[in-house]
Amino acid sequence: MNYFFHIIIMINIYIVLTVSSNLLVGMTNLLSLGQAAFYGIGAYFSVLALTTLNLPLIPSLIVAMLATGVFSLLLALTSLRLKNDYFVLSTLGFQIITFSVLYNWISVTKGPYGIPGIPAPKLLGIFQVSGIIPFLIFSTVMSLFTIFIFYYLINSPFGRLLKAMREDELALITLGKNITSLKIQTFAISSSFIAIAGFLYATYVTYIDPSSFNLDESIFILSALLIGGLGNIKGPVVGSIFVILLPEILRFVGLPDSIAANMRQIIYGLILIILMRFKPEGLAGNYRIK
Amino acid sequence: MSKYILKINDLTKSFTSDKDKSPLLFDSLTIEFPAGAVIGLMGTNGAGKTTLFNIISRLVDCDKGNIWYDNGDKQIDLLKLKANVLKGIGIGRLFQDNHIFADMTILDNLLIGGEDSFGETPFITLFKRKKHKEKEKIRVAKAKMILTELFGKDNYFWQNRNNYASELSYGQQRLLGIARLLMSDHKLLLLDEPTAGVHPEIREMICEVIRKINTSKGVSIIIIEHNFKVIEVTADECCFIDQGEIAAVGPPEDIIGNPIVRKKYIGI
Repeated sequence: MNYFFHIIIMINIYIVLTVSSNLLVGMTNLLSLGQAAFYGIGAYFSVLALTTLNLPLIPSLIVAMLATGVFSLLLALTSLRLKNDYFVLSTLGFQIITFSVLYNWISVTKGPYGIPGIPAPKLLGIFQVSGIIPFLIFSTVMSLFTIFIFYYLINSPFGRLLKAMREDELALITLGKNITSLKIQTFAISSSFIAIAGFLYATYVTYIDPSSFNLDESIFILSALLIGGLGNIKGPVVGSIFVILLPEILRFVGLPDSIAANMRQIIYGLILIILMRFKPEGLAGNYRIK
Repeated sequence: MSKYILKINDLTKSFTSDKDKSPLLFDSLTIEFPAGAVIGLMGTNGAGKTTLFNIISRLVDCDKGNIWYDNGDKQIDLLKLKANVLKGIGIGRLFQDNHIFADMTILDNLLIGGEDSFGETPFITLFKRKKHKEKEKIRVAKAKMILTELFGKDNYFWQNRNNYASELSYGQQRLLGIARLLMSDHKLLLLDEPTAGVHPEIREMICEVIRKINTSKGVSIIIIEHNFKVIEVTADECCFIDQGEIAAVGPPEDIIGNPIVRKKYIGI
């Protein structure tokens, strides 16, 4: 039973990651390769808040979200004048720099050795979220909270502005809208919520190291988004379930672990190619990336 | 009290960013557009009409000069403003290409042009839901009113308001673009070839709408157009630009009969 709970927890973490990333990638057409960097920043700041500052659950979560939001402004401000491929390259640069800092700033992050023994967070200073069932509930609440917030953001006048921005920035400027402010807000909200995934991951696994937040992870998050689909809530949720369940299904096929890992990469690649050709809006999305 | 809506003084603009070596598109261009009128702006391709609109709209910078805009309360130098501020002081722009949000519904296209931006920030969206829903209802009512005023009670746009704008024909998209402009109370509209490439029936509708906006709302309109008939029907005054200079100004019938204009346009 614990195995199924573990799968659901991982799906919940990826739902938070993809639903948050969808605001940037799916709603504003800003294809980012730096999502794992925000995920990592969120995770490391969560650990800092929980261990060094010794804060309980909610304040730790807020610290992680605020810190990640502030870091996202660095990328937002440098990327605002860049478009399309140049924007993607700047997010790639951010991802690589963040990974290098996490990997080499050993006195703070412990570099490749990672940080073990992350304590279970305490809710209201009383309830300790440790063990699989409490974590299942906690991660489900956080993923539902994220879905709720982003559902309202997407289906609001703010979401309408984002959709308009991804289609035609020039028209939106002449309609009196401030594109710079919109992009900064999108970056800040998206990355702050990604920090929730970082918090969940760090406190669930109780160990983090930079390899969990590298470029491969960014590509994996983006793959989940593209497979599920962009522009709505359903797409990222379907994508998250798909990318977490696929390797588990392969496990039951009876392939040896070494082959299953490679097969997983091949299948993801094939699915992406097939989707881009025949269903570019993904399995459940309503927007095709341009 | 001034009688102009726009006064361009000594406007100079070079073709390229190298101001010293580049030939000039506008060399000390000076012109005044009267308030409350429809002004036709004509000229051959490359004469600088759209560039002039882009400078007025603050999408393109000029080398020197001033553009004074009189919004009734005060005179403002547009060159000191950013593009996204112009809507707030009453200036709207229709582009030569259809800048419609094709993957959004007809209604959303209209609502996004609304005067009131309440609810367009994440905080308001999440924490003032009741109020922003009320504001949204007011926006929807305004969209319905504008469509009814322009196209009649059972108009196609309102009946199909939840369809994607991409499903509209090119001409219908032009009409939607004009209707979107009216979601805000503008004092000056810059219309860049609103009837180019549309069916004669839609062209007539667009001409009618332009006249209606001017007469019923008192909005000043500057319209770039190549079609003599459209200029005759819509414009009170006409201005012909040739190689960045004002070659002729006057009533449309005089401009159309002007030998320079006829030579440039139809070669006779």
